[in-house]
Amino acid sequence: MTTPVLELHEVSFTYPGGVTALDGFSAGITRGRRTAVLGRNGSGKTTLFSLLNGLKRPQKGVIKLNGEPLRYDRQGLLKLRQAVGMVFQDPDSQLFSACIYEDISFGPLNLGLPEAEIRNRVDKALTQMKLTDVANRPTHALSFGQKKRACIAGVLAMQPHVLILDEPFAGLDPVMAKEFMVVLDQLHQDGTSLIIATHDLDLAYAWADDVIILQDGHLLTQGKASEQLVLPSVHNELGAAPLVAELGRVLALTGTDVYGNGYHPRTGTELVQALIHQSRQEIDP
Amino acid sequence: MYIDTYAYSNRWRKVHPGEKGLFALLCLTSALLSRTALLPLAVAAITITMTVLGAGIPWRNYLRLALLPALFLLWSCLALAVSFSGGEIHLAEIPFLHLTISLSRQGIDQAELALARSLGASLSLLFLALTTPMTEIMGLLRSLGAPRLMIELMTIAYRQIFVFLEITGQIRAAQEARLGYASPRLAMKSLAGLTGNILLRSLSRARQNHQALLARGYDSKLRFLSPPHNWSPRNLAAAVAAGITLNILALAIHP
Repeated sequence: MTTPVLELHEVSFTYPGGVTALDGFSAGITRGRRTAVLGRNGSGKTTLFSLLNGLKRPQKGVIKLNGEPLRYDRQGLLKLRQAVGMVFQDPDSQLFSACIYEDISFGPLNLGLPEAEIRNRVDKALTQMKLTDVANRPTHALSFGQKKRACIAGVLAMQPHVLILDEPFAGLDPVMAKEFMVVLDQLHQDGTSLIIATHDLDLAYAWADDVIILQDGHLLTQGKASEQLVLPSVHNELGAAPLVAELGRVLALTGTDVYGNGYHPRTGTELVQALIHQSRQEIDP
Repeated sequence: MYIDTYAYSNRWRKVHPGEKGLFALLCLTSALLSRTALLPLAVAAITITMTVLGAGIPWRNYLRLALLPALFLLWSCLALAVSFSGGEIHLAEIPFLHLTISLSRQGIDQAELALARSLGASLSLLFLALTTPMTEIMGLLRSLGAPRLMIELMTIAYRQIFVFLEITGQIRAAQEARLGYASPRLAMKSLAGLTGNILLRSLSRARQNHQALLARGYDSKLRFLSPPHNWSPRNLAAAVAAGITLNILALAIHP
């Protein structure tokens, strides 16, 4: 068992107003995997992310990066923020300049890198996020999807090992969401650990390797997405179940076992393929 | 908002901002240094040609943008031309109560020069504004050693103007959809709601922005690099030659 890239031990955080967002929360993020964080509004997802990036400091408990407790001095925070990149939900709250080139250069400059290296990284991030063609345009003339990609470029230029994205698919149309998925898959293949917050159970079921499910500032459950998201307790808390898992279950009850041959459909398309495969076998055994 | 759109889409967008800035600055100084009305008018003609034919700004919209300061200048110069006390050589006199409104040769000359100078100067700046995006002008100021705080404020303010406009538009549309502006009384009430709402939104946005900056290692210095631009020796030589010639002429020509 390797050390989790990020772990939280008995972490509690209470806001100055007295609202306890996280209470004795423990969880771990496995290196190189895709983790989805789920939970109802106000369950503590945003607070959790702020803690992981050092924006907030827990009153109780320990957070570890690569097995070492976080340090909250200037150097420690800089190291943490280099390793753990954070993409906010609203691009307008992240992009500070009307020029995305300037915006992307901000993070690497704070890391104190030499100018040539920074310019390299900015160009690379622009290419990676397919923004080279629009880099000349002002931020206010970019589409929502482009602004979102610019935010990610600004974080990627810092070359983090862990990328946290708060609701990355919110507000994207299906085409943009699909393109964005490709971008995330690429990052995953490059070895980046990805953490996203989402309300979309189907997406979590299709995309994530692992899930962390929060309930009122506590950990409800964590583990493999395919195992956790089908639990009745999870359905109860989140108010729904992944559609594909539900269909699979109902089909199994009616005698069509789509999970045969160890196959595990995670998306609608995969389920349809499994059904076609089955019906072919029935016609032509 | 025309200015902003053209600044990003004109034909000379890719020209080094330093070249455009230098040219505009030299045009500006020659217009201001000139002691005859002719030279600033020539500067105006040159900058108009450069902006419309060079950078390709449609002349109709250019006219609309240039007309506002031009009309303003015209009215103020009319006021300069007439005097209430009366000079030595009067071209015309109108008795007005116990004063005399008089028009003198000297006054006309003075007004003419002021009008020409300000027109030349403002059109030089309009050339820069229409061909160079705000962020590049700020980059230029930065490389000239403008104070860091000023540049940071300008950068954030410029970006936030557009965010602010968008939010305002959204809230206003939502109010209008519920007949918030149906009567003057309702309009006042809605406007008050709009203003209060925007203040709250701005405060929470400022907090979010600060968090997002911190997440990328912000330590109370807003560091960033401007996109690279290539100097063109040909453009630079042309800008300097034209600009210096105009300045020499401005100093040499006496009325």
